[in-house]
Amino acid sequence: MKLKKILNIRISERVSFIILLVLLAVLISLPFFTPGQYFLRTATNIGIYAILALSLNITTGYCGQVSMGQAAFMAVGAYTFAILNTMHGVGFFPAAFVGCCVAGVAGFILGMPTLRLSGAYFVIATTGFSEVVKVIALNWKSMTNGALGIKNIGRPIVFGFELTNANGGQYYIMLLSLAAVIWISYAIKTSKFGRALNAIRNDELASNLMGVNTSSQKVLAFVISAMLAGYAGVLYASMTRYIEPNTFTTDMSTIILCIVIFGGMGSIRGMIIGALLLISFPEILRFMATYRFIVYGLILILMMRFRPQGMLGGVGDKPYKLPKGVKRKSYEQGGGVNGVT
Amino acid sequence: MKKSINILFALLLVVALISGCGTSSTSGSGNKPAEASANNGSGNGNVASEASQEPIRLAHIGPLTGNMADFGQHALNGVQVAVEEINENGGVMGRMLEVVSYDDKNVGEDAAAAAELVISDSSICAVTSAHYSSGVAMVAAPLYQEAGMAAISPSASHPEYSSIGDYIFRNNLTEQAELVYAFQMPTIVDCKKLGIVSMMSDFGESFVHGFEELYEANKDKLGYELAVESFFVDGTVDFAPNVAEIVNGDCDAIIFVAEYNNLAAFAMQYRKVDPDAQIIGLMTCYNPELINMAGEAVEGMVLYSVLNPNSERPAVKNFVDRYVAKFNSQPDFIAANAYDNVHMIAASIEKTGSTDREKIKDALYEVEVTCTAGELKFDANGDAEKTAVMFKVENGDFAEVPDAFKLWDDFVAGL
Amino acid sequence: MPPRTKRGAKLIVQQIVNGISIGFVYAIVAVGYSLIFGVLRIMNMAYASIFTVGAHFILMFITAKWGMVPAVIATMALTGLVSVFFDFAMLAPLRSKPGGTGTTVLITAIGFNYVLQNLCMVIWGSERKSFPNVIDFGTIRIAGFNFDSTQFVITGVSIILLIILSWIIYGTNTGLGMRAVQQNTKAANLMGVNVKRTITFTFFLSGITAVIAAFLVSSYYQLVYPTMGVQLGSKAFASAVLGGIGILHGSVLGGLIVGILECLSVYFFGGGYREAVAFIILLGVLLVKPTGLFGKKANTKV
Repeated sequence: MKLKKILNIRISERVSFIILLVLLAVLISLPFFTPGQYFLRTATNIGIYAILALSLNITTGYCGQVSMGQAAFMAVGAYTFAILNTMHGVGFFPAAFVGCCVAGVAGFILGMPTLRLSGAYFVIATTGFSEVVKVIALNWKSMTNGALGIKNIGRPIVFGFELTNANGGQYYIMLLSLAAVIWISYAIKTSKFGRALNAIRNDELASNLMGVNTSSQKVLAFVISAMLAGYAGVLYASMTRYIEPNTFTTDMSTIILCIVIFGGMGSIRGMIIGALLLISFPEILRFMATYRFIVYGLILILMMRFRPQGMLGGVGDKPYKLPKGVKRKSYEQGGGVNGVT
Repeated sequence: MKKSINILFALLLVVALISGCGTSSTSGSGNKPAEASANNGSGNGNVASEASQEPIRLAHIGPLTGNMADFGQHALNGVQVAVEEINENGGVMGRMLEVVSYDDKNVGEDAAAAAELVISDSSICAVTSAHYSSGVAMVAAPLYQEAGMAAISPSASHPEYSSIGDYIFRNNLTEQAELVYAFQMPTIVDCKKLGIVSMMSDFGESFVHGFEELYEANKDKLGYELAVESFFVDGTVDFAPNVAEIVNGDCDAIIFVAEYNNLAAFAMQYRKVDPDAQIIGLMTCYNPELINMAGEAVEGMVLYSVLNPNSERPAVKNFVDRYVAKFNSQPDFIAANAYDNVHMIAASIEKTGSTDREKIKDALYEVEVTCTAGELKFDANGDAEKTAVMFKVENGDFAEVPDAFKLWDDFVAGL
Repeated sequence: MPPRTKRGAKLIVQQIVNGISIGFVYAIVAVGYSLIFGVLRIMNMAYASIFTVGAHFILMFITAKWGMVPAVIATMALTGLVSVFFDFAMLAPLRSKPGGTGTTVLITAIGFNYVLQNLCMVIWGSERKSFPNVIDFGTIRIAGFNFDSTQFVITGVSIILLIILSWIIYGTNTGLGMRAVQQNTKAANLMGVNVKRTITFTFFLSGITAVIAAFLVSSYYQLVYPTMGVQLGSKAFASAVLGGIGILHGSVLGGLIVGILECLSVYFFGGGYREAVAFIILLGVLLVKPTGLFGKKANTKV
């Protein structure tokens, strides 16, 4: 009996692995058999939203704090990058790095005082912050060029080779970035930090009593989320090559929230599938493009009503996967207090 | 494991569907394909193919929803009038013209996506009406340039728009040209204290800056003082603080730098406080909707436009008659510009005898066409010379004020 | 550096006057937010779109040649129904679920707000539409300052509305029930309060309030468009939080403060910062005293 169970597990793991390999092969070779730039651009867009969803996942999915501020952090990251890149000639990678850091600082500034507020108030604070960022971008003309926006934003140059949409370079950068963000998300999830966030999400008071420094963990999660969103902003700016104060709208924050809710809070795969389905459907079903936002709104309502954990969510409720080598002793066998759990 | 398979299927399905849309040279993937001719293109149109019965396809991309929807719709109307006219006269090289239309909501991201869609469609040989506002058009322009597809904007005003590349054309007043007209207007209406009310948009900021420069240069000779500058952001409906600033500065005339929908709200609030004030508008205020919305409040305001619907010139009369017959309303500048664009492209195709994108672009620099703008020709930069006419709102209608504008040098000399 | 303009005390006072007018506009919308929060302790994020729908319905009836009074009354009934539908179809099922946390309700409300606003856009078009002003009795100049008669009507109606709502909540049995539900739903149920009916009544009342606000705002600006609720809603919400959300007179005071500060910001900084003023105030309030100016220190952590 036990042997069969082990074999079954092994088989399903192997099949998953093969599927993953096929998927990777398809993704990597995509630029070579796609029919045109439009497809690559949409794919890159999907990737950017997937990164954004993963970033929001850290605050909302792992930590349970609903935030509408991702567009603001995108804006901060994108503007920092664009200013450095166009006005001071800084290359893509260093400028992107600084963009992330500045977005992180913005996350810290916003998060420190507001994270002690409860759910609804926090949402409103983040929405307000988005508006403030927009106003700053519009009025700080010496830095941001005001309403005229920043154009001719540069694209990544690797070994003297410019990565554009046409040669598929931008798609690969997006793919690599997405892989990195997935890895970061996974690392957080399986770390002590991730467990702390999960505990905070389930019951903040209890975890506080158990010794988790809830404020600092929440702020850290928020800062990481802001940095990732800032990086997504950098990729976005580099793709569209022109940004202005109205580029990063509340609509974007709502869409990102929608992806997180739809995909399932806490589930990494959910974020990617969610982004894939929700960003591509207006392109595929073009006649539905006018109704696009109605669909997003309906998804929020229906998900909350019928499946709050999302399509692939409910991860937090599964029993924690023990690291290899640790045996789980059942209480029925008389494990009791001294048993390893 | 079931979940992984489901994921894979979903992914493959999406890939298949998107690739189905990407390659399409049929109009099935178009947003709201506006087909002016009865023909429904279904061939796998190859750009250089000489398949003689295939329709020639042009693209229109503009805001069909959102705040600026009127502009995009009017441009499309102008295009459709031109296409119908050309098709009635036998088409271009014996082939019918066809227009595919996409909505960019006046948002950069959507504009770029629509641009990519159009570029990937090898049966479309040029963009006959590219976007509305300069900011949005400039997001898409580098894409057209890189892909080698001619795109003519009927409304961009940004000074550097056409310099983006040789595939980028502009059939509209450049900002410098608009300033020439706008700057004359306060003098024409005998203003003593001028106020500027502007939206904080790319056009607004750039325009006000240019106006200030001209003002500073000619301050001593002008009969008025620029007393107040008041700004507002897009989406504002409550103009009370702006009105207060203007009235406090004792301005007797103001220049409003934004589109007609903002002017309607502002004018109603302004005229309540100061019924005798003179409102000066720019070309984007020319729209019959303005009078529908604001009514009495805009009576007596002055503005300018490149299209004079009452002109006696045969090309203009022909266009206006056709437009009114088809759409039951008067055309505005963007409809006229878009109409002209189609004729320019048609003439280029006739000249080179092919629908190759690069050849069309080359020919666009060489053709000269008689249309609503007179003898229209693109200069080496891709801009076109246009002249504007002054209008005044009288009895709920736009009435021409003939011979109001002078040439710039004459105007400055006469100050 | 603010752009060139003529400065002076006269302009400051005029801007304050403008601020008071705008303030009452915010106040009348803020009252709606306070009403729901005061009874159900939830932020009705969908209120802005209910307000917008109300405005569109009135316009629809007027375009169909109904008179203004029947149009408004019919809209009150319709919008009240929409508001009740929102609660019945979306919020009530979440209340009965055990894990119904604040965030699920919040997200549902955000979703409904989105759906309703975009339905307005799809059905009636996204452009601005003209709305007649039947409460316009001309401009009144007092002591050299401009007052719009419509502004007086708005002020008057706000105050009357405030009085009526306060009477309902503090002077009637239904209001007693509403206050009981707010304090402790279970206990209220045990005490014989029909909780479901009370909640439905509250939502219907908030719908009516939205229509009154919509009528006044549409008449004042003479425009109706799908995004009219967005800016107005957020600023009204900030006003409600500033005054103490759940407290009706707090909303009015909050609205006035936000309005005045907004107009003064145009004087000192130019028109570009206007939109951020309400949010900066909001952020400030949330950091310093989240319960607002008139709010009592609640037992539950905000």
